[in-house]
Amino acid sequence: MLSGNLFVGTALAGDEIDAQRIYRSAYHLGRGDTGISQCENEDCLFYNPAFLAEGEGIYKKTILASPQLEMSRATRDFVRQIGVEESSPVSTIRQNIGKPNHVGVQTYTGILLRRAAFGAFASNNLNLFAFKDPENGGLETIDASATQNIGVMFSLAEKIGDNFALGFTGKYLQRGRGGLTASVANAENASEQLQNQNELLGIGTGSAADIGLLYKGSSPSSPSFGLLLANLGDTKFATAEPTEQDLTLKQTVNVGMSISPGTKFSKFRFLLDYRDILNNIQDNAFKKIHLGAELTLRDIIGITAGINQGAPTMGVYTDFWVLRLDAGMYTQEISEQVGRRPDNRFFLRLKAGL
Amino acid sequence: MKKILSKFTISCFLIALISLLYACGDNIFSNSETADPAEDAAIELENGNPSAAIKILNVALEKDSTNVIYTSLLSLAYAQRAGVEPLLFAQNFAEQTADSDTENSNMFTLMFKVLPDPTVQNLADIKKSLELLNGIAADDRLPGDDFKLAMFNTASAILTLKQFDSNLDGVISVGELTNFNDTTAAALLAQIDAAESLLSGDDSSKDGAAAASSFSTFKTELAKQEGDTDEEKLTNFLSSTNSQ
Repeated sequence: MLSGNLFVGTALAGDEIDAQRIYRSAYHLGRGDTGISQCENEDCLFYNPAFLAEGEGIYKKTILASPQLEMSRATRDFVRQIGVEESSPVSTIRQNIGKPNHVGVQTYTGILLRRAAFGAFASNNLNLFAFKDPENGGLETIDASATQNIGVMFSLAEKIGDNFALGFTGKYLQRGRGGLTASVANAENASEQLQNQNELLGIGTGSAADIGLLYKGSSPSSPSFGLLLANLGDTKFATAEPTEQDLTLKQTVNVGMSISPGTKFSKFRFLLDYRDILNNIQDNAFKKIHLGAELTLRDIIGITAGINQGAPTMGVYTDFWVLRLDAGMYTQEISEQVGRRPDNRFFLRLKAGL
Repeated sequence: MKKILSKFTISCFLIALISLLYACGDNIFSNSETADPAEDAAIELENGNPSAAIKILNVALEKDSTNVIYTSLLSLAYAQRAGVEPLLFAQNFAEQTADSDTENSNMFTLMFKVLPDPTVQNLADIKKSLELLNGIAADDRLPGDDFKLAMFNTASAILTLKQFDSNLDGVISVGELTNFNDTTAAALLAQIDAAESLLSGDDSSKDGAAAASSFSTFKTELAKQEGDTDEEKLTNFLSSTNSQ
């Protein structure tokens, strides 16, 4: 019924966060999406490449594949209602008014050396949200968006003195975005707009660069401070066809700190990140705060917890070197303000490497 | 010493984890956020709590009485409390009138089963909803307001008529029309005219267009009835299509 009643508008706040972060690790999501001051292996290429300079020897790891799946609680329920309970699509959609839907998949493959890494990744995010829109008199509106990133990347890192490290990641990306906001209230020229591919979809290629800085203290609690300059100078994308979709990856300045007290067998970590200091993606300070905690036993098994944008996150992992499993949940805020429209999401990652 | 430190570490983590889980019920920053009555009310409506939305919006309108968004949402909240959701109502209207046998039924009584009982509260709420929307100047209306106004007028007319179905059998018998007077008929026709007028200039909704078409059909049928005035014709129309 909505198909004849659509217009294209602006996307929701939560969509933009999914679109601007091209890779988010399951391990980090479980601990509040913190990782600028402490990360491991390929995750560092996205959270802070300076960590590549850490460790000993030359060879670190080869990641064969690391498929990760994210899904909203509402999406899981939606699929169950349609697929198992065989509810009618219309009534199921009506029951899902105000419930954010999200599906995300990503993977990374590459070789990690100490001080250098190269590899490739792909990530996709799909968001769908039907809600009563105050701007349209409270009538139902659907916001849909999709983002796809495919890229090859290399990273270099070097220690500076005993405590500092500097890292760089270069990426060549192909990026696509699609999206529309459709309301039953505002439908003039809807069909024409839906048929306008340039308005709905955009795809382009571009080069991006990140710089990471790390300071590690030498006290027993191992304090760390990290700085990540992501998408230096904004990452622009060249498109074959003109598009009204904004493909730009905006430059962000992000900082983090952590402490890691522990023993030979167990380690506790407490982490704090503050993202987008310069308000290039969003203004709401509450949405930039990430808190995380982790308890790991010999780095083989661990449990994590945290606060992402004010909402709780949790995760567990087992790591047997060749195979690692991460699972958990986190919450992302869809509204401009935190606490109003939480999107509870589950995630699962299976990583194989040598 | 290491064992003690290990136990201390685990204890710290568990305390932190329990604290975080305790905070799980809500966003820890939500109480620090600035209020947004429009979105808060919309969320209450999505959750099926129109009374909570009415409360939020009435408080907001005390501070900002000319806010069109608040007024428009408040009208929706009253309608929802009366059991009328515009989109679902339009969809039901289109389905019912499409399936109907126009010779033996009319669009009003067909909608009886998809509208709530015409209780005093429901009638007051739909009336309040119409008052609020009619209070917004045409130039200031939001994109969905005309559609809502058309649906609320239609729903109000049907609820008004449904009052006469005293035995709740879904049809209005000749006997039940005894108390149907010219004043009621005139009010009902005025609401149908308003709804038809609003929908005739709005091609945004297929269901709205279907409703407008039904109104045209109804008027054609009405014109065929005996009677000197539209009120008499309406009475005869209702008697002829529902006689038992």
